[in-house]
Amino acid sequence: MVDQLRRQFIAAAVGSCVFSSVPMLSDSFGQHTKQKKTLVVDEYLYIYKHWMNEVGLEPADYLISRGITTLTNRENVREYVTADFSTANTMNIQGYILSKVEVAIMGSIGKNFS
Amino acid sequence: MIVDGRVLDANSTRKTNVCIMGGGVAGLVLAKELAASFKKIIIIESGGEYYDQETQELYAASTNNKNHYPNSLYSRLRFLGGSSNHWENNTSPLDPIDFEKRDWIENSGWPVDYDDVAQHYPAAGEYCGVKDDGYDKKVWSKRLNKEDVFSNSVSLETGIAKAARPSTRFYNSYGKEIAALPSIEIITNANAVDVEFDENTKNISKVYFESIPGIRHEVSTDLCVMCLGGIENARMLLAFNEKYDHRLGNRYDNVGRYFMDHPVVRAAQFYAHDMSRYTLYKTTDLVDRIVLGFWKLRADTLAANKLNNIRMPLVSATNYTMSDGISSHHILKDALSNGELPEDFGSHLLNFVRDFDMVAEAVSRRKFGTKIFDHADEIAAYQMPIMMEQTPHRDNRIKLGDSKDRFGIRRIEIEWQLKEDDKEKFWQALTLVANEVGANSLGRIRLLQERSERIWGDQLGFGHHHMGTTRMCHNYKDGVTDATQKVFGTNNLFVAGSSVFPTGGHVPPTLTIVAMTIRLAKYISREFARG
Repeated sequence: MVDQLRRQFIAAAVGSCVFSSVPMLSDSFGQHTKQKKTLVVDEYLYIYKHWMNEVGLEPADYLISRGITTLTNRENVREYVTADFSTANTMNIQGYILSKVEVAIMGSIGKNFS
Repeated sequence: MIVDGRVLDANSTRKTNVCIMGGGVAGLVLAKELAASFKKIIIIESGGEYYDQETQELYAASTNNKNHYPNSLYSRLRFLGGSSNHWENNTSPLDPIDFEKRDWIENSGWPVDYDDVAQHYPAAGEYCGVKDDGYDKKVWSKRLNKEDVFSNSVSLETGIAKAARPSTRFYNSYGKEIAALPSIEIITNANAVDVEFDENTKNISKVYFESIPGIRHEVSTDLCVMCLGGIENARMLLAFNEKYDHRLGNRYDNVGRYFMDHPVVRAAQFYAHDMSRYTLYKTTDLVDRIVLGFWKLRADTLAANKLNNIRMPLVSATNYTMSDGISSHHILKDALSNGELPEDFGSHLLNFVRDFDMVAEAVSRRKFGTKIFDHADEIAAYQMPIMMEQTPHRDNRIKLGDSKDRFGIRRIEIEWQLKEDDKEKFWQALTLVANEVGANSLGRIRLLQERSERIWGDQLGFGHHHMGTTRMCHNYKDGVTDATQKVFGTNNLFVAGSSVFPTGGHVPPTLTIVAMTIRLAKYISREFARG
């Protein structure tokens, strides 16, 4: 009986993970080993909506206004991000304190799902 | 010499130069430090050499605090060695800013400065079993060859904690030596119940104790020091004052007030870019002690932003312990079982679904005692059980309740709250930390403000560091003891221990208790020893 219940739990858990797991944001939040599973569309969309509520300006326009026209130069983006933290130019996204530049980048992605 | 109070002849009398109430950390250190200066010192200790349930229950409160403050019955221990019999031996010094009058913290400011206490930290370190080699972050970073990640930070810095292994139990470590000293007599199972106060000389002339209820013994003394602990010092001083119309340090109704603890708040998580950089913040085992780094805000940052001090250790946390899904599962379960929907129902449901593997893991562990997923035990991030400095508020207090213990002493009532301004300053401090962590490319901080209700409620932890109830002060109106720890309105009654701390700082108090007690012993030896 116990083993049968356990198998049901495992089956349900595995099924759920397959259904829902997409690794995301790990680059943004660090190279930690956390294997976060999330509904990626919902997360980016949430960030986009949050950004629009807080800032109003389209995230892509914000990035351009900051002088960021390409994301291929990671070092350049990193400098913007650390500068944001140094000047407290940050946003609270579900508790995570993030630089506005990195939130705007994620918000830009989220806009594609809106 | 150790004498069991229960075998003394009824109504026995003794004479001594110094009577010390309490054989815990402060009492034992004081006796040892004074031994060479006085011919006779008596320690009156309620307990014996070992734990005894009947004696422990003398700590029971009249009623327990309703504001999440834990029952203090077992957070302190009532036998020789006191609470050092169960402490974690975690030692760090206070910072210079902790002693200062800070305009943004009501009732802050010690009547002594940092240097006055810090000169005794090396000797206090020896007593605590952590040696006298200090807490300098540069020294320890170099000595352990581990990186101080905040060496270039403008607002954060590293603090160092040390703890003896095995933990130093003060009576086990020093009891035999102290008891063998010719000038010292330890009377066990002896409960102080009353004092004789001479209105003219302002001296305590006698201390009465009972080992068996109703059978009194008398100690005539030149000098008396209360070393009963942060709560009990206030309780007994209030009890003594009932007979003397509050002339023992309580003319302004300060005894028992300004009660503080160190709330421990699990309110933040740290996601590191490179977890290999934080070895200084993990326990390093040395031969007979451990060393551990923690994060803290620099003094100039605290001052510029008008913040209370905080101490932030890092604790490795697994995917399992960090799971939002498990937290949401508990919230959903509690709410639904009450026939209600929780706030943010959608978010909790989403957490539950996307973290279902960890929820299943939790159910399996609880129901079947087995694990399912290997990755549940992988390190995900760091939790930060943050110890916060509480602003001393007059209405947080120890007072006497209606019921009495078996020796006729009224039991305590605790009135304690964590004020909203402390919580607000705490979140401000964490936001500063989060910004600085990002600015130094160390990783990202997550603040758990959305869980505030539980963080400040059932999940709130405590250091069980009872402080402030007989606070030191420059003037009688604002405190109970003066800068020498002498009770206002008296000439020979002193208090030792964390009850004299005007503010609690950000670190466990024992190292400072010992340093302050050494300082007190030097003062008493200088001013009162004859021949």
